[in-house]
Amino acid sequence: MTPGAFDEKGPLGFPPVLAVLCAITGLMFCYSLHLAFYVAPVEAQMGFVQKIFYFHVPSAWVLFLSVGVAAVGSVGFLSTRGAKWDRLGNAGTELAIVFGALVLFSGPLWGRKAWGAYWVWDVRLTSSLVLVLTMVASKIVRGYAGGSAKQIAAGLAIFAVINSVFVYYSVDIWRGTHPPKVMGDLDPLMKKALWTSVFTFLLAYVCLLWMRLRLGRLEAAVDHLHMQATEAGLHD
Amino acid sequence: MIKDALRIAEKDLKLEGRSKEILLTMGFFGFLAVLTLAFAFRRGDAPVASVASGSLWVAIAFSGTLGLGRAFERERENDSIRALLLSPVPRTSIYLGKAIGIVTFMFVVELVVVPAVLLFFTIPMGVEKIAWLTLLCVLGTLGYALVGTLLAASLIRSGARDVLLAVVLYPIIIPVIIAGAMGTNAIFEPQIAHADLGTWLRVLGAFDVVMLVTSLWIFEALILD
Repeated sequence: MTPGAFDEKGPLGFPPVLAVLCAITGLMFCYSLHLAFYVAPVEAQMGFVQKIFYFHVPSAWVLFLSVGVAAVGSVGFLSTRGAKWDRLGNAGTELAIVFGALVLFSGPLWGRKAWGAYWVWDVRLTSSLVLVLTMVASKIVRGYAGGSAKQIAAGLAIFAVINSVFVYYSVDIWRGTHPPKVMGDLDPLMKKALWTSVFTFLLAYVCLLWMRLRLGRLEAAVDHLHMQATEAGLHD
Repeated sequence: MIKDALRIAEKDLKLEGRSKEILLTMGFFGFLAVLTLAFAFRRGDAPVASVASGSLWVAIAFSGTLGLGRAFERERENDSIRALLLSPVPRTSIYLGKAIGIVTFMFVVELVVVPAVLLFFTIPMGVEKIAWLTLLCVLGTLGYALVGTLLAASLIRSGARDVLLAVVLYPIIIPVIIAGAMGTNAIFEPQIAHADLGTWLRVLGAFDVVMLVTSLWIFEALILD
């Protein structure tokens, strides 16, 4: 166990690079909001409500990125049983749930205005729902499955990635010709707002992932200290 | 590897042949599930025929979960899972053997559940339709059992395994439910089906192959020694 876990430079042990990154992300969010609401034009068909697009789409992309991170961590953990891979898988799972919640909350809000109902079995929303549910199941398993929890959670993350293809395809066939795909060619200012938003969300993801991984390392170090204390007879 | 798997399956089937506990409980529960659904979805004096296809797959899924739980509980009770893991049999044979056993149990239960659905929802059938329905059920059950066996085996030493099995299994087998129900729809009511039966059979087939390969690949890593 590395004793250096608690020795990071900085006033409270918080990595200065991460602090700077968080500050930049905060500023980028302000800039993105400005672009989305003041610079990007109002869309012809859907009007003002279309601006959810600048939050919903980047959230969805970050959701898929996070599921990918969880899968990488899971494969790494199942191959090597290394704790750091499990921490990566756990962090990826948690962040997938967070960004998934954003997607599943903003999607129906948009759908209500665009298609008249909160849930219309849109292919992408439905497959995202199943994906997020599998991530939630993975998190539940980590909490309650006992000894083999980490392996099962890792296996689930891998299944989630494979399954999402089948769910997407199945719902696509089932929905037939319903066309909820509303995005055509984008106005250049809209493109700028979208890509800035995507970049901002990516930065936010990196910050959150770094913080969560750091938290995981600290938790492992604390657990180790607990064990050492118990072995030395310092605990009741 | 296949011979070992068949031997393990034979053990399960022989045990079950003597006690018939899982088959009876699963079968009876499946029948009750269909009956409950027939009561739940009524319009006037008869159940709504259009929910028959969905009801069939819900009953299969629920009784399958029961069977999976019970089959692995039996291994746990006698600690025979440890004996299996200690034996020189490759782990993948254990997985395949258990999966073959589960699939067989589910087929037997479907012999009860399918006629129950046809009876209570008043679905007219012919020989050709029964043949297609059989193929659909075989492919769907295979997919369900392949994933279910892997997940049930990995949860064998967990505390809350009964509810956890349902929590982890159901999101993964959603494609089986969709394809199974939509395919059954195509058989029961071909005039209003969204896509033809062949498409759904292919989806199930692809799902079965992919899940078999994935499960064989990660079974070893998931089982706690």
